[in-house]
Amino acid sequence: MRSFKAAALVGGMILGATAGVATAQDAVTLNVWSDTPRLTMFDLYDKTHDGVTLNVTTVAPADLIAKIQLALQAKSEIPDVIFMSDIGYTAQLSTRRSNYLMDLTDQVPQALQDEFYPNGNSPCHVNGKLLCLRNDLAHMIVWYDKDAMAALGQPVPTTWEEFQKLGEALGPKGYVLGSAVESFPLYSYLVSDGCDLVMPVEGKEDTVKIDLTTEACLKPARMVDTMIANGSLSKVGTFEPDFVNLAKTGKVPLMVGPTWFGEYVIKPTYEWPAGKLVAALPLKWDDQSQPLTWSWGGGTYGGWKDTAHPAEVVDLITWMATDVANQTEAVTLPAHRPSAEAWGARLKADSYYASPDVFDVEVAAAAFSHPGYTSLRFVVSDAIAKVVVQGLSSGGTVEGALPALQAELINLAKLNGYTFE
Amino acid sequence: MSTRTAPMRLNLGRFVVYATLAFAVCFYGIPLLWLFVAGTRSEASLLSDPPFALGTWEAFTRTWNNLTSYNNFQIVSWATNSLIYSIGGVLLSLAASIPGGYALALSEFPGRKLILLLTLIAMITPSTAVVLPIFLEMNLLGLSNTYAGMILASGFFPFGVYLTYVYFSTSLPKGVMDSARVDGCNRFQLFTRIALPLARPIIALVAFFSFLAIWSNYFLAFVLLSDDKLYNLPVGLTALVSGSGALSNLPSNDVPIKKPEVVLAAILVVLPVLLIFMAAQRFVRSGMLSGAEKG
Repeated sequence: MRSFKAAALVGGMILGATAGVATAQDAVTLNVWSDTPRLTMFDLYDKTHDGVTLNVTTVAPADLIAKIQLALQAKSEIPDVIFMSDIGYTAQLSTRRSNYLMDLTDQVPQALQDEFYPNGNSPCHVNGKLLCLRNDLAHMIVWYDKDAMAALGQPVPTTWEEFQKLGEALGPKGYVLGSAVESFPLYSYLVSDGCDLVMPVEGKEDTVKIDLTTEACLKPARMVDTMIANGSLSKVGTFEPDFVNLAKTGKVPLMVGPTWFGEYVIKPTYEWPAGKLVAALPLKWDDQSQPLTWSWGGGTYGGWKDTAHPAEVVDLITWMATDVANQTEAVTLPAHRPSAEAWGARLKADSYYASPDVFDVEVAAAAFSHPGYTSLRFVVSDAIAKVVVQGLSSGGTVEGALPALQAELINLAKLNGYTFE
Repeated sequence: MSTRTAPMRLNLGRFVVYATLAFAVCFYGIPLLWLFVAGTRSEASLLSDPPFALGTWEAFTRTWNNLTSYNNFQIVSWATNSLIYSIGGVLLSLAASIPGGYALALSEFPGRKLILLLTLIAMITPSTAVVLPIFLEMNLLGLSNTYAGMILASGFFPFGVYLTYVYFSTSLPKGVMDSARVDGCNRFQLFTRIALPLARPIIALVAFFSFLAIWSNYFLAFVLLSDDKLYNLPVGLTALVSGSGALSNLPSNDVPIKKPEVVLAAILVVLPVLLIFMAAQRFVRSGMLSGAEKG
């Protein structure tokens, strides 16, 4: 018996020592599912962190949810860290049936969370929990051609009322100030005065407010209808050839667009010459004290709640979203303030813009980001496309489509397990 | 009088036939023509120039370089994977379909009708309905994310069994088989020495359809593969195009995959099938017509 105990003790010591050696030598391997643009950032983490090896797989953003559900079902090949290009994925991956995301509320220090721009992490807060960290901001601002506006003798609007007046002046002359048939711009107009177009109710889990009968919804809807009627809001999308041709030929002197529009649409697709493009703060309504601006995009990082390496997962997510050196090279405006400040130097030095304050405008506008830009288990913009945009194409109006949109959204909310007020 | 009106009727008939054919060629051919023309154009040209404007060699080479140099020529490894899955799957489906169809056509054994019925049911069942069970099965066997798993799953081709069954039931003269039997052929020799040499058109046809199905199969590869090094062309290109935002109006990145690269990627997926069809069309046509005339 004594010899058995001695043998067990020696065996245990050898096993323990072996395990210790293995832990010290073996790097932790994390499986990462990324989209294409984030590959270089993950690669940089891999190269700069000796203890962690990343096994990065490119997954089509639209396929992410289905692939994770399959992996969860099979209990194999589940990624430790994912990049979510759609803010809705956070809510869709934290349901009872697809319970994937790790709660980061206590994992990411509050001081670090506070370094994000106001409402920057709104899409990551689901039912009071922080389930992801935001990579980039994409709020709507005003983009305009300085020379064209001067030649037209028109002031740059600061309010939606002035925007409508500008449309009344320029629409009949063949000028266009944006699109009325693209879901996100339309969405941004509709919520600009605080319309309750599926807004989460604070303090109540899975509860949303849907009320499109208020003046806060009707007023922007009437503005869009008026501008469609006078031709200043186009009935083709901003990426369609007809709109691109208008923009190329100087017929779009000003438009409301997300922060990435200057660099990735106006410069390469609309091909505005250098020295013309200027950014201005988001518009507000006369009765608002400050603007309320919606967003169009902005990805997030999340981790698997049952990962074998939670500390490394949190470190990777945190590094991706907040490492200043990494985010300085990011393609779009970082949501993390210190990173954004470093990132902005490039924009300030870019002679393409007519004014060096584009970055300052983008950052100042971030303060007005809509707190309702959150993650939902259904896609509101799809409902807008289905009800409002289709209605417009058959001669209807935005205002006239709001009751049908409300009914559609209530149905979607119920189907997806939300209580609505 | 009647000799004068007959050519009129004939001409009108011909006109209707040719008009219908011309409409069909335009309706189905124009999108394909556009695809090949658009592959030579730049992003700006795609948005501004007329639909069938020809691009430039410079634009085409730039697009080609953008597409092929992405992530260390990953598209080449996706194409290689597609080829491996297709060849492996075709061989497997032929190995199962030809003897299977032959046995069902020329042998009487208990359960034959049931197997035929099951083949028909498997043929009309949408592939999406069986993908999840296949995924779980492969996962259980440890074959998900492997070449063997993809080839094994791709080899399931009940349509090939049915085609072969129809071919052997209708095109193989009974007399030939009987003569071979009298000359001393056993069952295996009957199949290898008589049936197989006569079955070249149907082998080509099954191989063609099987290749087509596997080469363009998105869903199976999407479900079974989560390692992008093992992706086939459809899944890899979808990941690339979707990730770059080239078509989703979220182009906020520096990935050089834009609309022209998407068009070229589509051509890359279509082209091998087109070339194989052109090379094998004699076999494919004779295989399709085999059994049309009995006796």
